[in-house]
Amino acid sequence: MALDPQDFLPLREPTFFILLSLANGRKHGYAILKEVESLSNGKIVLSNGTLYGALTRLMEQGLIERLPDDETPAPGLPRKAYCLSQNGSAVLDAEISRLENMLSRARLPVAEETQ
Amino acid sequence: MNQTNHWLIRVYTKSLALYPRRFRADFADEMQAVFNLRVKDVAGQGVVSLLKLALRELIDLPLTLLTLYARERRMSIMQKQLNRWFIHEPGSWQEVLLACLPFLVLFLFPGVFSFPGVEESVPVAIGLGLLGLLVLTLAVLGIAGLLVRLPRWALPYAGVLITGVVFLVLILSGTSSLFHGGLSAPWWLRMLAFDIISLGAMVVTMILLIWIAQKIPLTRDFFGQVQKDWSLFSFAMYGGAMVLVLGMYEDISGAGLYILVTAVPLFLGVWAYLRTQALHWRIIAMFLAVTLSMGITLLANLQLKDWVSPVEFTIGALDINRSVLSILLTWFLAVTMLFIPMILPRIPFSKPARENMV
Repeated sequence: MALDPQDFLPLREPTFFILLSLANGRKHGYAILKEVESLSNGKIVLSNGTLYGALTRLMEQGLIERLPDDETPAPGLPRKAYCLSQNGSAVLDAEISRLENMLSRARLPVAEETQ
Repeated sequence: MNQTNHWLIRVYTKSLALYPRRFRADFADEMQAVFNLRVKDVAGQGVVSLLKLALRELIDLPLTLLTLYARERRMSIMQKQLNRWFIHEPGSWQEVLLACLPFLVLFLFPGVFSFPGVEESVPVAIGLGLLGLLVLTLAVLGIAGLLVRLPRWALPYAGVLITGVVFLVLILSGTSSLFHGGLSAPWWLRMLAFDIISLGAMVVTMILLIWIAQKIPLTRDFFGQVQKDWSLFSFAMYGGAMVLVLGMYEDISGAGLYILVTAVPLFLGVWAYLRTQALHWRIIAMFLAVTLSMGITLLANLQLKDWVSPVEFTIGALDINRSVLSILLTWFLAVTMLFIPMILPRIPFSKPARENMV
């Protein structure tokens, strides 16, 4: 069922980075943690509890999907992976547009001042 | 891996037992695997890094647990509501009995008192006392139904209340007397106009109530369920239809037996609604019950009423006078009330706010 992405906005920073980390394909929990840390320049380091609490909520909201067991996972890695759903992609796009819009508005007075 | 790492992993494994059971079943293995990898990551960076990792988990734990348990509780409540409403489980005999109670009370009282000789033999004070007691019982059960978030058995009570209030407003505002004598238009046109106005008032009231239902915490769940299964509101209005049927006996004396017999199809309608799974059969059952009870009412009118108004015109074999037309119009009003809720899921009410936090 298609949801209205605007209902989910604005996203909180950790939610945004979790969705963003899944934008370029499926990932296990550990890879998501690493990607969030890297995307946020080390500013957001999620605890395990926070990450899995957020993943549960995002699954309930239909923004991400849990994929079936990975039959041949890398040693030590969990067998489950996550990916963005169609709704999740739409919400992420909407949030990026919202942030871009905010940025362009914020830059406008600065640009006028420098001219 | 050294002793500290082993110890840390063991403590973490134990701490997983604090999470809700369902969550644990889904994620504990994954969380354990991820934690092991994180410990492995920082193991070479010294004790401080290990401590930072452990502290982060420890600090986040209370809030995470609070959020997860709150969600677990909310889901469990939702699941119960879904089982009760949306899945439409066949009702138990207690549920059928509770839902039938307003029908039983409202038909039994006038039914017994309308038997020839009974009304005269019972003192007025006792009669009024009994009536007050029955109304009080209905009110208490109705309020109890609201407090337990409108389960199915409480819906006919709500319908009785809605219909009662709408007609009371129409009477007190003078609309009823205006259309029943105050205007110079032909009688059948006034009757028809009043019926249409009553229907409009019912529709507006129902939409207003649904709009209010989404705002009040006690009825918000009911609003959500009506959006998915509109027949719940039809079932509520079925209670209102009963009031309309009963109102048709207003000026017929000695109709006790007819009144009691009229209640039978209405009871069966309640039973069929609560016991039938398919939506269309539930609606058909209520439609047939109202139609049959109105048929019995019409028969009582034809048999018992002193015809004060002459036959005005004839449709087929049926002589139409005011009483007959009134019953036909009321039947139309009652069955329309059952179908009006069909439009409710199409009305763009505001959506409930979603939680959005990590």
